[in-house]
Amino acid sequence: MDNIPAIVETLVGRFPQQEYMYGGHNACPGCGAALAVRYMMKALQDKAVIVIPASCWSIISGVNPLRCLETVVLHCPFPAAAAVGSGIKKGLEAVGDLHTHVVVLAGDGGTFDIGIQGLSGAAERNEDILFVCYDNEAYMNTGMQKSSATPYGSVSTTTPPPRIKQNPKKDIMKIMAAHQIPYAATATIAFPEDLLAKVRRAMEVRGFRFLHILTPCPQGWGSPVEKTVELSRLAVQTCVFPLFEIEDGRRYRLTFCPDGPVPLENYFRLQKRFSSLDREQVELARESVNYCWEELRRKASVL
Amino acid sequence: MPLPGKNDTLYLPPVIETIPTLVNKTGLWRFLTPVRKDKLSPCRALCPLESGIPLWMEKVKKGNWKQAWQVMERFNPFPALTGYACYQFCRSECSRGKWDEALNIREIEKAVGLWRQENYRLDRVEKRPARGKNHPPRVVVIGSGPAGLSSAYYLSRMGAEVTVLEKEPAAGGLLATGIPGYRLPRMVLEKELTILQDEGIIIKTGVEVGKDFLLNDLAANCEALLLAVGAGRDRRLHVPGDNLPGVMGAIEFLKEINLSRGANVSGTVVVVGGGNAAVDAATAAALSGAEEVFLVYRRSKEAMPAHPEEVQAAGEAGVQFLFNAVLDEIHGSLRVEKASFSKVQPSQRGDEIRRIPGEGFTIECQMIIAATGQQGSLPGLVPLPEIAAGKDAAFLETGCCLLAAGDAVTGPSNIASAIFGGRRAALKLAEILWETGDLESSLLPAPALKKGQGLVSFASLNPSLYPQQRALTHPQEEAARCFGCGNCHNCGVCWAFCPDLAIEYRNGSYEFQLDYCKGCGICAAECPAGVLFMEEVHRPGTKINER
Repeated sequence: MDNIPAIVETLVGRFPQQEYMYGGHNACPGCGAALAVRYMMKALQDKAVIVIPASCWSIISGVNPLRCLETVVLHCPFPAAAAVGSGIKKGLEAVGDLHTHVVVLAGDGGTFDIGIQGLSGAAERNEDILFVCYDNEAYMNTGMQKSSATPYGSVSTTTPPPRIKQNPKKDIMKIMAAHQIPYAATATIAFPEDLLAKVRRAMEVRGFRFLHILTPCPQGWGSPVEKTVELSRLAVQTCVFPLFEIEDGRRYRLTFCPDGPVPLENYFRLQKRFSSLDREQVELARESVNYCWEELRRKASVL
Repeated sequence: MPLPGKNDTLYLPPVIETIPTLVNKTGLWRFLTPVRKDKLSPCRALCPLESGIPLWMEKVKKGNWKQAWQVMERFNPFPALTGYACYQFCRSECSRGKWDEALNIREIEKAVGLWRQENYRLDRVEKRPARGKNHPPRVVVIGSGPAGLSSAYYLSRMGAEVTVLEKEPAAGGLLATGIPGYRLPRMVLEKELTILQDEGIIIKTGVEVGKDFLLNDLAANCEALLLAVGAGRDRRLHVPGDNLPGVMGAIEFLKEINLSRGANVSGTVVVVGGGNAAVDAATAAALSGAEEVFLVYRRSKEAMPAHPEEVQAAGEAGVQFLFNAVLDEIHGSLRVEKASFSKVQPSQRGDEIRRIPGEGFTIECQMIIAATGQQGSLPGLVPLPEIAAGKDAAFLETGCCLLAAGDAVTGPSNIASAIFGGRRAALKLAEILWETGDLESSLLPAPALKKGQGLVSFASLNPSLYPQQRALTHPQEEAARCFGCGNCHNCGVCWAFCPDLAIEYRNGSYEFQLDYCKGCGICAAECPAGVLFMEEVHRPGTKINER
């Protein structure tokens, strides 16, 4: 295509111009989840059925009769997303449609907490679906209630005083790796070309695929609305959210290696949810981040 | 496989019509509106030519050399010359310097210039009759330095018949006589002059006004007379013995060297002064046979007006620097034999020079080069600074318009400033010679920048999209490192990061769909060129600050 400007080719990757999402959706200003799905749809195009359990995206995608995705969307109960997805895939196979992808689009609640039994079951059965978790690290739709994806040190409305979450974030990627599914990957919105490549890669693989997308939420995280993409970039650069993929639960591959270490404080400073952390607690968080990063590097054999 | 259904027919659920969310005008949620404001880039603000650096850089980035030249031409008709000999004022404040390494703008400019020299095709413009006349205006440019040549180029492009007069045997002014060959290869200058002659400009060398022509005779036969005589006469030293043989002005010395008249350089040479002319002369002397070259300057190295690049080159050529010293007297009976100097207290530019009594030294030398400033070489003819291009042009009795440009107006400066002076004078003359609005804007030189256009700061850029990378050698790859500060170059980053799909690519540029923009400001935060800003904009129907 001639009309793609050079920088988009070089920096944002070979980005398709065609949109499969409409403006006017109900996301808050600066929503990371809306951006993540916009990129995802560019790869999926209209060859997919999207299954959405209760989450931000049940709201964003529009109240009947409005739709903001240019494909079939099915809303389903909170814990049943993976099961509904599996059923739809079986149904499609039954009528001979082998090309349509079934994509489950769940929030972190629908993946880490409420949806985990369905997810685990579908992964164990190796159902041919793509499970996408857009992770904004709490129940943001209903007002910042704690989920098991909420990181250590974050304030939430349902953590007892001193209101700081004391436990670390559940490592969903390890859980998915333990299921030995064909493909699992992390992605985030500041690296669209990487996100797009991973969705495309997932579309080529048969079997259960899992995609973990970090989507900053300005409302819940207490960050400036315009910093959504910057936060997502910082999360990768500070190694809070490394970008990698796992094949068959064994082969790890880092898809982005930060050049120099960016201090964790740069990431924390932009978010009000971490504002009550003292120095020792930041140090604890840093240790945990460093440990996970070293462990990941060992697994990916870059150490 | 048949599906279960009534009477074995395919059961289809009722289809519910859905409509796109485009009916939701979420733009109503907006408090801040993205506004595109092109700003001034630091390189452009520093360039004496006010060259549209980000504008042509964008074309080079895409490998479109022809368009790059077409954009460049309106700012700088001689990128090959400036690409070799400019002091790259632009590079010092380059935003890229705060990220990894400043962009090597001059090399890219040189590449555009050399592309133009190689791919030059004759594109002579139709001559246009002057205002109230039925023949094209005849313009005589006196002086073939950078200012004269640039004004000649633009006037010829606009449709005038231009004649350039040069008193030296070689055209080019200081480009030929002042700038040493190692900084500006003569081939490049000659090619540039050939192009000018192909364009229809007549260049006459070896003719001097006042000797071969009288100014009034010239004025009788042309519509405009442009004085681009430069500031090419050396000031005298005003010390005892400054008229001895062996004392020379720097400009005169450089002229001798560069025009290959075979200046007899031998023994010890002392250069007095700290400007570019002094350093050039010292380097030239060191390279053409002097045993020892001393450069004596009355202030410190930091206070030298010469460009650091030149000073470094001089040091590499073997010039020895003596700072904080002034020349007192030149001794000698028939020729220069030695010179005595006094030490002075360290001072800044503008401070008074104070000699330290009793401390001095003498240097035995065979040649002294004075580089203590220059003055205009057409004194008494017309009061030059008064008809500087900034002010109104003077009209002679014959109706001929008289204008001055370049160093003759500004005093000794640099090539870029002189080319800019020529460009400004050409624009001024165009208003006088032709009906305004008669000319195509693509032929006109770019106007000077408006003051008060905001400078884009590093804080409003988003460099994180550019991988950290030191300067590259290939011009196009190097150009791709340019952030394009302050000028939208349709990179598409705003479009790529908009969560509300409120930016569309239409007719070659990105446009806001404000019906859907929720005003999050991600586009402004992510813009690598810093041209997007969030502003409170009153919309019809919204009431802001109403009580």
